[in-house]
Amino acid sequence: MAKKVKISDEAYEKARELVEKKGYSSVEELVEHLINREYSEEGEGGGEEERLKGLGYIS
Amino acid sequence: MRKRLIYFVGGIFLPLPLLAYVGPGAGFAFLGSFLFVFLAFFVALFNLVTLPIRVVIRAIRRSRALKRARVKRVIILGFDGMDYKLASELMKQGRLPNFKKLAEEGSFLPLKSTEPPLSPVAWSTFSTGVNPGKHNIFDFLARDPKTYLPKLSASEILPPKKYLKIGKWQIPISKPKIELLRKSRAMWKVLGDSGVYAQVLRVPFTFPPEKFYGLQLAGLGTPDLRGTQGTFTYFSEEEKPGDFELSEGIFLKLEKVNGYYKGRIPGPPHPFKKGEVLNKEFKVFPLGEDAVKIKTEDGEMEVRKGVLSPWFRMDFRAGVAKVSGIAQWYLHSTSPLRIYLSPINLNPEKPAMPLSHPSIFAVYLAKKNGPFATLGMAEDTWALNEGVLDEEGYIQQVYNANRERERIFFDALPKSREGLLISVFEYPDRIQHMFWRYIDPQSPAPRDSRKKEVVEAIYRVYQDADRIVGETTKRLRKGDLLMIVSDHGFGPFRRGVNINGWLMKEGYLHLKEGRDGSGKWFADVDWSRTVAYGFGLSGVYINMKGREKEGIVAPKEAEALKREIREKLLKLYDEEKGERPVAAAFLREEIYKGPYVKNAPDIIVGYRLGYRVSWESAVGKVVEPVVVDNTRRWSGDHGFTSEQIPGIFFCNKKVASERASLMDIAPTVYDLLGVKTPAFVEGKNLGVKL
Repeated sequence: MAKKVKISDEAYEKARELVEKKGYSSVEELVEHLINREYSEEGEGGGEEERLKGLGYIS
Repeated sequence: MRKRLIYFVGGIFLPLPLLAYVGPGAGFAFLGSFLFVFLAFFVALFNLVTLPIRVVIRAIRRSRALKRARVKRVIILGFDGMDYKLASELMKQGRLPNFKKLAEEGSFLPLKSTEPPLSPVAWSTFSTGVNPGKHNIFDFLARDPKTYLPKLSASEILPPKKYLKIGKWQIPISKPKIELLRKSRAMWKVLGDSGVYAQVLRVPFTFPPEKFYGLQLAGLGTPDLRGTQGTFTYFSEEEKPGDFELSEGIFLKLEKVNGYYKGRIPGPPHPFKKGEVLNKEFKVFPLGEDAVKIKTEDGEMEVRKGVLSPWFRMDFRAGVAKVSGIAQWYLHSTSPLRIYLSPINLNPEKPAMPLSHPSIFAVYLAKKNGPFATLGMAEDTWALNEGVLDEEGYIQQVYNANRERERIFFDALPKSREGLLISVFEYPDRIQHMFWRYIDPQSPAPRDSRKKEVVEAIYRVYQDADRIVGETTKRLRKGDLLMIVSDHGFGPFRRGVNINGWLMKEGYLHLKEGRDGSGKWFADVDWSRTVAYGFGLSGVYINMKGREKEGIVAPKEAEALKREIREKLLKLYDEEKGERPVAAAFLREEIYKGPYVKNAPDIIVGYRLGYRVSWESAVGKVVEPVVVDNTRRWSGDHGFTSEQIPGIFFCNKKVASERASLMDIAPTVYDLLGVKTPAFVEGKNLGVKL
């Protein structure tokens, strides 16, 4: 279920400018991207070799 | 009445992702059985209460769109991999009468794909109307710069984070995460926001399905019950899998008992015991020389030699939890006994992962049309590559899956009265990958059959697609607009380029002391001396300081290095064949723009027809020589530049534009259905003339 976050009007305006300038489809997408970027920097990283099994394009 | 009721219920209830099995190592349906029902009840109640308000809002939006709409309904048929040049040639020969009629009465154009012209990249551009820099899909694979390991680019499945541990047992107490990594906004979401209804059937890389105003069935990218992209099992009474050396799939020996054989089917990972797998016992009873009876606790089935069986249901139990799958058997021989079992698909009647939006839609389709393949790549190309499924068996598998998709589409066609209906048929891609060797005299791959159905498999699949087009045009109503698209064309894959071997030879990639090659995923690469590495089907990355875990190239030095590597790649020469394997190499900033460009490979390699990245380099191995023959049955491909292999665009009306690109489909649909094209969309309206 989607959650709502309150931000200031000023930050929202900046977000809208960024959406237009960078080519995001919405403010939501921008916010999610920034959060995911920060989040992935914190993580240890990993791979999913097992999930790729059977993908015809590789062996 | 019952069918309508299911549609009604499906349309108004919010989709609720199943708290289910989500792949290797993850927990699954323990929470599902009780909590799912409990939550579903309250969500349903909430939806019922708010239904009148939502209906009014939707009706207002819809009436606005309908006033501007130029047609009542847009139908898009997708034929994955259908090639412009081959389709043109077959039309000339009179073998595709329905396509030809469309071309004469309406439009037929080459459709520009993406760079690289790979299905996840291309279909994501089709879905959104934007370049890959805005939708974040650049290949089948994405690399994790912290580990240099691969991930699927289009979706992520993470197990629950919280478990209750009791001895060896671990009970999941939080939800797993299943996320679609394609960004931007799909055309069906944009339409839905304006109150325009859409049905989206098996568009590739729509797993997990999104919430929007309409129905969706996930396509390519959907995993099997084991959480992989498709793992077959091969059973034999022999100690070894016959003449085969299996690099994919699982081989298991059958045990001979009095008058029958017994074995076990390895299923999904155990939900409550880390590292263990759920198994299912089965028995095989010989029925003469050409058939066997296969029996499990879920049922029994007679399987005839050389005939792919109908779907066989198999439920894997772990205490109170149950994970349901379906699979198909193929009897190779009875003496010695050799049996192939397809990858175990998620059972659409009881999906352990979200297969559709709303979730009840997959259940409805299974009840209405019978069980159907849910695995993204249901056609088992690896089983044919390895020889455990013969060519006739593979063709049966391809057509069986396609007939199921056809039934689903022709069931939806009369029911969707307005808005958008998309259905993608992937069989041209699957047939061309495996049978191109039969239309390419230069292919070094085996051509071991003389049967017409095999030798002419490619022509036949185009003709079968033509039949679907004919059936569709017969059913069109006044006010319908039909478009037919493919994501890319096709060409020969004769020679594999060991891009990592080449990088090593040129001094850009180094191995650890004493090694003369590297195993999968750069296991033996010395990152402290490596400045570039090839990854996926078309990418080269710089081993960048501050980005890659063991990066050594300073960002300010990267630009010159990228240009230097590009220049050398273009000069790469295949001495044996006298050709240059690389047709073009793009720096990512030259072809992509948008917020996700930073996730793209630094250099995108476009191979010349006949060449593709080698099987070894595609999995991060470092081997030499640089260019080698491709002797696998997978002999057709599309890992070239998009310019060499345009896809197809047909429309039952004339279009103003003389050029068409995959990016143009979404804005054209918006124009036809009266919805304003959002500012982020980059494609151009093709200008359909009504």
